[in-house]
Amino acid sequence: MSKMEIQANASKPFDHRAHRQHQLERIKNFVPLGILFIFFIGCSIISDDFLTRNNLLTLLDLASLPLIIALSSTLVVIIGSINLSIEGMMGLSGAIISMLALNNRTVFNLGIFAVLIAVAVSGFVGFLIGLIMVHTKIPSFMVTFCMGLITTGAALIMYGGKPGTLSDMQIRSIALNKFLGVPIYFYIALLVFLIAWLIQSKTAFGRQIYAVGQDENSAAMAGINVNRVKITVFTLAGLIIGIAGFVSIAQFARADMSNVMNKSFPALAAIVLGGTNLSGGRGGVVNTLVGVTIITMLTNIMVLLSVNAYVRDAAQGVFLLIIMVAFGWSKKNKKLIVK
Amino acid sequence: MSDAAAYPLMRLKKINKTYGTTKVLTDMDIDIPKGKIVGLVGENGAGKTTLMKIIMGLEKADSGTMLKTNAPYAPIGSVKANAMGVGMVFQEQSLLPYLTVGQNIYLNNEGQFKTGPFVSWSKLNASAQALLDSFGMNHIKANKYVSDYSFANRQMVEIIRAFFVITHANQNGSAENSLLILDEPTSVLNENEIKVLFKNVRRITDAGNSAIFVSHRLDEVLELCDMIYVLKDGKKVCVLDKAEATQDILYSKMVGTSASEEYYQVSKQRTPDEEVLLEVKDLCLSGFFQNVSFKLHKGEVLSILGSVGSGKEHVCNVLTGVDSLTSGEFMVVGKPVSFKMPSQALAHGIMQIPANRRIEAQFDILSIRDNIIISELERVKKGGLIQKKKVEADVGHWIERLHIKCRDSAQMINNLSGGNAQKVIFARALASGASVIILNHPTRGVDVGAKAEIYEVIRDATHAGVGIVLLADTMEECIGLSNRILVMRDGTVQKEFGAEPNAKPEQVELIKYMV
Repeated sequence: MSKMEIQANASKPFDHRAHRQHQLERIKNFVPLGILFIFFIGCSIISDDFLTRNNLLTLLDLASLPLIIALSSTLVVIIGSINLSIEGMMGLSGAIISMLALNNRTVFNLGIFAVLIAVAVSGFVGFLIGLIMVHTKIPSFMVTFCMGLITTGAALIMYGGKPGTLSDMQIRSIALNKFLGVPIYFYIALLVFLIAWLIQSKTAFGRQIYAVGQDENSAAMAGINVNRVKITVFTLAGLIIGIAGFVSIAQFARADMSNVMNKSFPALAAIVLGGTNLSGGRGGVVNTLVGVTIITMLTNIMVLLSVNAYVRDAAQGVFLLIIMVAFGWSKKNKKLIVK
Repeated sequence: MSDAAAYPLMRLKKINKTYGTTKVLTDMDIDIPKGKIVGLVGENGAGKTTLMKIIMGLEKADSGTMLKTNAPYAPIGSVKANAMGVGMVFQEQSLLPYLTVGQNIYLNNEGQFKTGPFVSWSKLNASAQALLDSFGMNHIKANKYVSDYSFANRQMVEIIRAFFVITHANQNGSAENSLLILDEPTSVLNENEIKVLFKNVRRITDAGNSAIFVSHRLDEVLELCDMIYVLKDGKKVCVLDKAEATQDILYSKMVGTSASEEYYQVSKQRTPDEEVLLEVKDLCLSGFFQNVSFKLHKGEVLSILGSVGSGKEHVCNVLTGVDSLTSGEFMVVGKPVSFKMPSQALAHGIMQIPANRRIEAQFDILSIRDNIIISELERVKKGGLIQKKKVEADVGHWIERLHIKCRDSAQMINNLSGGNAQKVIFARALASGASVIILNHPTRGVDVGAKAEIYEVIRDATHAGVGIVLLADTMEECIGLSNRILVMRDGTVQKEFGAEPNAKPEQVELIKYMV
């Protein structure tokens, strides 16, 4: 009898403590949804204008572009990386469309092909990010930051400081035309969401993304080509950002970089708010949908309550913090390492 | 086929390997017959790990050949090795906690469940469940997350996965002639779980496959293996048949000397001082243990013995501030205290050497020096700055005192062998100036030679006046090292035993109160 670990409870059929832990774990997954629900009720109470047909349609409209942007980063965050080049890539995509479709600066008039080219270029930039990342081992943070600067520069050079105006009505129609009361781009966002969800949940590649996010070494040992997964994820992110650029140019008609500034961090905030872990391996596109909805509602209610524009940013920050603290209740008494 | 049967499943011929200037393997000849379980024993640094890495294609031998059923075998990378029917279950588990059991088993082999690009997770899980059931693991559900299961269950999943991968990928297309390498698979399993594991390994080999079993626990090697290779300093010492091997023979072959009572250096056991370092009265942590009372004296080794779930681990957690006590009194040198975090415990001179060294103690990317001084930073700084000279002197002192084998103090800790890395963690605790050290399985995964050195360190510490609370790795270790033994069961202390050098309790007596 040299081993002392004689387990008294080996025959015990049910471990209540472990069970409670699992229950808690499970409940935790619904916390963001709960917050969304409470927030929705709260907004309906404090503002009479919130729960109106018009405002709800506005919400869907407002959430569309942020959703596409946040989706582009969701898979990136699941593999434990980060993308700081969203603004630059969106700007570039918009600039390409504004230069190649009917506009007041160039003679090109490629119509919808301009969109395809822009999305392809954006996807290629994402591919490049992945390629540089896996071959030089430079962290995604730096690669994407640099690529963000490069693409911003490329867009600025392209329109030479004076953004062109897009007059291709076919492209602009996704923002100007409505179907069932919401602009067409809402359905584009929905489609992107659906495709991202399919990839994430229904394909082997989707599992590989989670595997890489949880433990790269184990994933590699299982025979997964980790580099290829990373490159593919960034390529997908690029394609989705290309679409975001398309939606953005359709909305604004001008490829002005200032229209696409400050998109990276709100997108990341929405992702984390939804419950996706920044260190990778957990969460997903559904979480992102919840996160984006919460943030959109927050912006919307500020407007409805006519909160002073100067106060708005600060108030948003405070509210987000409060939500995160409320979200954190389930993490109490756990040895959680926060970086 | 008849041709293949005449040859061993795997034959290694004159394998040599050198790292830098150290020769780690010299002319290694090993045969692994079909259907047999082959044990590989030897101290840390004997070359077992390197040998397995070479078989798995993770390292390349400098010279020598490998033959699998008499065909040349030279995989590059574990994926290739898998494809040739050789798989390994690693010491550190490689399952992904937030994928389901089924998804883990079929990770990267989802092909057969695909329609177009889409995988049917329900079909995959059903197939995984059938596989689990065939191993008698029907209590593990393929559609639940791996994180829902205990370490022991995960270990079985890991083995089933490895088995699936090698039989599935085997070029012969048959479930035969595969080789499964098990590296210390039992280190955290209990008796029953080990039985299940052994049964399943036997089941795999009975089907015409072979296994290599590596363990520090010789009794397990003797129980499971058909033949045992003993390695020492990168050379094959001998190969023993199951029938002729005993623990004593293996010990003596491994270290050159046989294990004796002096192993635990009982003669160096000291009588503790009257001075009480730490006292607890009716200590409770709701849900884990209740009414635990004891005193720890200066220079004493106090063991807490008990099975998994007896509450002993949580007693240590309360002592070191990992958990906060629910009720009861806790006094350090006569003063009542209550800790909410380990740093408070350390401020009162209590420090723990955790069981899971790699995860809980070791800073992999820091040097030996930084790993040692991390807990005594308060003492080596002056005006907020770290005094380099004092640090070097301190670190040098501990490296010498504990015989840490290293190039210099700037070497990274993850380059050290298990035993030496453990000694670095000991140095940290001793350097921190702690007066009470909680030793949580101090020799887990450490080889025989390094164990003796660690026991010496423990003895020396008690002579310097340190009080030690010990959760021993084995019962012999507990009896051999302790001055007193508390036996716990179901969260309460059942009995206290004295363990003075000439009046050590018998294992049987202790077990009576454990179960």
